[in-house]
Amino acid sequence: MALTPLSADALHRCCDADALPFETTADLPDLEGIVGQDRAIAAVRFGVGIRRPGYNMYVLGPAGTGKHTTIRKFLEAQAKAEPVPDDWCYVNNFATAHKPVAIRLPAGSGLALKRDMDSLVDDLKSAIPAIFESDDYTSRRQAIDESFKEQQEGVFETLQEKAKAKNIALIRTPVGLALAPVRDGAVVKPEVFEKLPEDERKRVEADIEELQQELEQIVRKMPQWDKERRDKIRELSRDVTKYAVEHLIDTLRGRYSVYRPVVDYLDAVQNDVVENVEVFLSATQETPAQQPTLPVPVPVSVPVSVPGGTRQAAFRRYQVNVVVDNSGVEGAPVVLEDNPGYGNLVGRVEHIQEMGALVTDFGLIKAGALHRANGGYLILDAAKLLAQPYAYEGLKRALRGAEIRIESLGQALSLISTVSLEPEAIPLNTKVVLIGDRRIYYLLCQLDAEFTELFKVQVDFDDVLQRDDESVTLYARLIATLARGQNLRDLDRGGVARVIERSARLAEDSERLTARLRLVTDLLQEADYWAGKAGRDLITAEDVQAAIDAQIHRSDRIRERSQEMIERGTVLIDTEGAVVGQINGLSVLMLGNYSFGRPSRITTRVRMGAGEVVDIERKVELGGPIHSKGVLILSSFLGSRYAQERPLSLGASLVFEQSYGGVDGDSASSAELYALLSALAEIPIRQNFAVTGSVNQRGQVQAIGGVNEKIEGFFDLCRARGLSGDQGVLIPASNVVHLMLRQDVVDAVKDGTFHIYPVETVDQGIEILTGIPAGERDAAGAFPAGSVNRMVEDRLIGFAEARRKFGRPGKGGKGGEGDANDNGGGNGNGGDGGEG
Amino acid sequence: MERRPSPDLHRVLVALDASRESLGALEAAARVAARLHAELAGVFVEDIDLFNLAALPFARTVVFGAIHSRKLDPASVEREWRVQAAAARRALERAAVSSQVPWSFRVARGRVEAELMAAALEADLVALGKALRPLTRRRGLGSTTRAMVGAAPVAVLLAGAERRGDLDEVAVLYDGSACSRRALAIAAGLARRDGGNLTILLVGEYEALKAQVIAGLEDLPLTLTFRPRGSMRLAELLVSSRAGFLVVGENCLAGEGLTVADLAEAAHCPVLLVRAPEAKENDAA
Repeated sequence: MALTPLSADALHRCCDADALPFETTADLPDLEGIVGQDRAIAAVRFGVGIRRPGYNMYVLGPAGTGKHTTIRKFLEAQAKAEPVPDDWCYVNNFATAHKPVAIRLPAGSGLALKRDMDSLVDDLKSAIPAIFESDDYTSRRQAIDESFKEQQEGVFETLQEKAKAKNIALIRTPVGLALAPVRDGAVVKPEVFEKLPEDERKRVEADIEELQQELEQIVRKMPQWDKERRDKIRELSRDVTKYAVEHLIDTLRGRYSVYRPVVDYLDAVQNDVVENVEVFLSATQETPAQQPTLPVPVPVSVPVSVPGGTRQAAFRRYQVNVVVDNSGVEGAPVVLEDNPGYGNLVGRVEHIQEMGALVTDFGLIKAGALHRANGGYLILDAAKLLAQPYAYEGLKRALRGAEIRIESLGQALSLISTVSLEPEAIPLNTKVVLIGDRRIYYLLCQLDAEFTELFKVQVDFDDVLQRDDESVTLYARLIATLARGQNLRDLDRGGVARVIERSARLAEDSERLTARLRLVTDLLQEADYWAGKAGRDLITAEDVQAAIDAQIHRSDRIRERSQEMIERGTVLIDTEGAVVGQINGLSVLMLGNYSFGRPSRITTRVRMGAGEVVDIERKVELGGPIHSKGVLILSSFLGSRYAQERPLSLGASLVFEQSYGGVDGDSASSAELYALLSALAEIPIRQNFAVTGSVNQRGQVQAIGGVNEKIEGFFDLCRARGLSGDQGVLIPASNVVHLMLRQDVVDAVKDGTFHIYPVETVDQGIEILTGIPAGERDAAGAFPAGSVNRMVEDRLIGFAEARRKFGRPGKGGKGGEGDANDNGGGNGNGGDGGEG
Repeated sequence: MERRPSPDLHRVLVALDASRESLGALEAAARVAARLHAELAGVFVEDIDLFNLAALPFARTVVFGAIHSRKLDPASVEREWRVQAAAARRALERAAVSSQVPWSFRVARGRVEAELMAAALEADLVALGKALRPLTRRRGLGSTTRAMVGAAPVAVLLAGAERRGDLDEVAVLYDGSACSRRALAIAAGLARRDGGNLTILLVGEYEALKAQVIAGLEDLPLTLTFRPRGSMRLAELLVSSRAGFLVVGENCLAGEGLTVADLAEAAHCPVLLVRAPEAKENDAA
């Protein structure tokens, strides 16, 4: 029974605008949530709900399906009901400056502590100088000085008195003190001294020697006395400072008494202020202890390597660096880090240039996305994360250890060993959501054993949605929501219907709708543009079609050139007549986001051989493995159908004519088989047909991709040459549901000028292509005479016989007959050209 | 009382010995010279007693900060004097150039007090460190300074290592005596410039003394501030003035139980001790 072509109704599943239950999209409420992604939503709910280590999520699906928006909205809604996480602050570690201390406080208290500490420093700036200017301090200080002076004066005066009694004076020299014999208030001149009796001279010298010993001892003790004086003054300053500081800090201790780390920190602050009180005194004021030697004031930082630093820097020691401030935040945070570099993720310690060196302190610790998302959710783009050096490793380390440890890359990789900050690690409790395409997900699963341990929840977004009445209504609401979200005109029913039809075409399935909302949004925006150009208030089907046509036209240059080459005869494609061993195959070319179908001539030559079908494309490495697989299936089909009891003594070659860019896929395998059968049976194939579909070993024709583009590609060529009325395409029957053809193709089919045949088996196809019955084996196992299969089988039997004879010993050797059979074997049929 | 203050101080002598105290005196002296358009003359005295000591065979000096004493000899003493004198000269030159006043410098050898006294005869004001090269940190004036305060025939400016000495904050002690009138005239001369401040510390009948001062200074563009003594001791009054520069007549201290040494110790600023007019005339004769 002859196969009938498809009716026009089967080629394009229309969306009936009149059946849509609204006039315009203005009548439709916004769609909350998403359509048709039940599996993904269930996975997200599970991922959010389960609070176990490693249950982070990977959201996978094609680009443009709204994964980011959907996940963010879902998480934000979920996070609102969750508790606000704590604030985190870094403060100076007064004992070990390069290991800043992390302090956790309830949300909002971090800034309060910072303000309190700033106020404390301001208070200390005025309270400490005031107490050092007080009468109490001054008098106690003067008492110490006076005591020291009295001690020193007493010693010198005693020495002077003792010397005076011996007519010796203590006088100043340029570098110190000396003892000199005096007479009448003046130092004895040398000539006078020489004239003194020897006894007296010796006595004077002895006296001076003795006094000098005493003087030396006194001078040696002076630094010690001075040190004692300074120690006493330092002790005094500690006392008064402690008095000034303690009651101020006590106020804060009371306020933060329930937070032990803060109380410990305040204790450390108090001790540090007492020990470094000089920084609170003005530069001009005499300090109780030694004036600190400070470099030129640079009010920026306390270098780790320069304890104390500048006066301004010294006050920074008491500041609080609030790295995570959740004041005013409602619910748990949902952080989307668009630039997930290592530093942006785990935080970093910044440096500043100071006097030619890079310095840093705890105040330059900057939070990363993990800090901000702690207690909530962190959304990252997988591709961006993996593109950033060591960012993925840093993320995994944080998740594995359940803590955020800020290290520079140099530290983390042990590349540098200079002293830098090692901030205390902060416990991490964040649900990380990676969003990416499927390829990355499966690669990570395959290549990184830790990935599946850390991202146990797979959230798989579907590419397409089921198309039924209910989903079409929801899809219409989705279109309305997208249009409003982009501030576009409303769509009328016709416009919505056309968008839905286009969506089905984008899904390459009349029973599905695309989930790639970005493409739909683009279409709506462009349709809005065309509606504006046409002066319409609503987007109509016309505007949507204009947008589609314009999209195609913008991308269509290569397709036009390709078809032009066929029309001009540069690329040889017949659309009429019949030729043995030649058929029109159909291929799809993808250029960016645009794909189109193009007919290709496939030819085959057969001869006696060893049962091998040579794929010329593969031989020259222009054919991919799937294409080769299809060709090998052909050999298997031929052998199993026609040469079960004798060797398949076929030598055949297959080629995509004028193909220079390589082919892959098995969608041409049925066409190649038809060409082989034609060549073997020496029956010409009608060139007014093009064929697509893969074939299996049993001769069943199987579904392929891009069926719409392929049909349209051949249709465009036929229409350009003038539709003859008998042209058409053979497609796999299982592809009928995928048909969403252009209106002009549908119209041509409706007019009977173009035909599309849904083919299930090779036999059905060969009958259409040759007009000769394929034939089925009878009870005796023979194909009917005159059938295609019979002719093929006979030809193969001929090859096998010829080969048997050719290989028999004593029959003339291999050379001569081999040469004679080289062009088609030994059955005398004159080769397989046959078309003439 | 003089109607117009005429400080007639034309030559300011400053005794230099390269100590911090003497450099403080130099700084204050240079400001005074600049304000009064006077010449700044520096003198560095090589102490003959030290030179004689160095010539003695057993002479040694105990060096501050060194463990052992060092032998003294005339050559090394002279070498160190040369170094100190050069440093003193440079400091004087810097201060004079900065203050835009004429300057001179000389080195004298002899007894320090005698040489300074002799040099003072050629000057109208002698500036000294409160303690020139003190032996110890003891309170009060050094022996040379004490001698100059007691016997120098001219006004004496005492300054220390403190950095104050602001002529925009001049204070003067006024009791109506001739000596205090002269002090007022000098203080007005020091403070005189448009908008200059002059604080008058009045010791005695407040309104009458105030009227005297106003009458004497009425033509000068000064901002006058009067502070009564009240129940304060004189030392408290002087300290409470928080002056940047204090001018005091020597007679004003008499009967108050306050010595110049006490005053110099209490005041954290340069103190200019003005002689009574007749004393200057007598000494000059």
